[in-house]
Amino acid sequence: MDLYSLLNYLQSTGFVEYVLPFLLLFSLMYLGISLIEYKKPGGDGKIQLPNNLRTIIAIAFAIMMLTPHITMPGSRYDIIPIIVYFLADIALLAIGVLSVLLLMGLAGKNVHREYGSYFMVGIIIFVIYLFLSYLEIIPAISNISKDTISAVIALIIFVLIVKFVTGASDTTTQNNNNNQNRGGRNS
Amino acid sequence: MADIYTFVNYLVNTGVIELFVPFILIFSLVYAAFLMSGIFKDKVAKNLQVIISVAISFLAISPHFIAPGSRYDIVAVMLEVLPSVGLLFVAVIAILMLIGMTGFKAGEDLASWFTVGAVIFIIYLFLISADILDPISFLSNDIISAIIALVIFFLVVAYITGGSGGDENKVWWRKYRLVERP
Repeated sequence: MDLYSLLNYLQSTGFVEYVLPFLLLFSLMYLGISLIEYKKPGGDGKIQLPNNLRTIIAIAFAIMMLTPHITMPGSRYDIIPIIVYFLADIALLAIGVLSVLLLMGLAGKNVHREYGSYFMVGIIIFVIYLFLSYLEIIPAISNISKDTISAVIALIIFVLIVKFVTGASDTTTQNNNNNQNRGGRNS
Repeated sequence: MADIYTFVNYLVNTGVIELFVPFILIFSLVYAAFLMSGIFKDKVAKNLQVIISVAISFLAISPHFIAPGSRYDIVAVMLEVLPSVGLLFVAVIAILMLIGMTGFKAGEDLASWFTVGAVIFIIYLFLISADILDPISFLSNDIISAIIALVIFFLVVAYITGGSGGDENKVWWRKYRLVERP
């Protein structure tokens, strides 16, 4: 049995379609429920819910989340295809971010320190955009008009130019100050 | 060969998925709520706690088989809302993972933002599912353009009023600058 046959087997038996999403959702729900702590009745300190209760709640939540995929496949409540496409986009984004970080690191930039906050804001905006577009609350990138995209690109370039010019003037001022300080010390 | 499809179809046909699982979910949540509140303490009261939980959860799911599709059918509401909540979980984990790549401890730095966003989104989902609010779908390009313009305007204002040099923390996202790594 080669790898293709194995993958086809997993696909045809429903392992990929039901078991993997169930495991993902179950793990996430279990993680979320484990964060819940409450004050111990009649005592000090905080305790978690009993482990079996957490497991049951997580399993029930995960099955309920999967149910529309079973009972009404293809409807807007069926999140399994959405999760598949969403995670593919996230993986692509992760590769993109990693590539940019590597290239900037090669160019000698301390990327985390200098640009980390910009990356963070960009990632949050992009993931929220993907999330809302998959829920059909806002249009996907392919449905946005070319005028809007052109306007956004123009604005981004404008902001980058402003940032570049003002950054250069700051550096020049700082260099001048440093030179003056050195000159003062030498004389 | 009995594969997973057959098993899932069997569960659907026997009503396990649409009746038993919501029952177990509501029962567990009610039981957990009693446990957390600490109302029942002695052994007899704990048995009472189980009976009350069973009764509440059974009554809660009963409209699903008495009057399916009515406005009291909370199982249908749960089936509409919970998948989106699951997707929200996946999105939050994706954001945390990607931000972790840039060197931030997003779970600590951004917890309050995530909480506010998640609460607003879940309330929005429930209001839509209960037909109190109309779903926002396919915002027009004009509205999208206006929102983008507003965001850029806000960013420019934040940049200008944020000062420069050593006063970087005035720009709100700069305070999430970086957690030093060992």
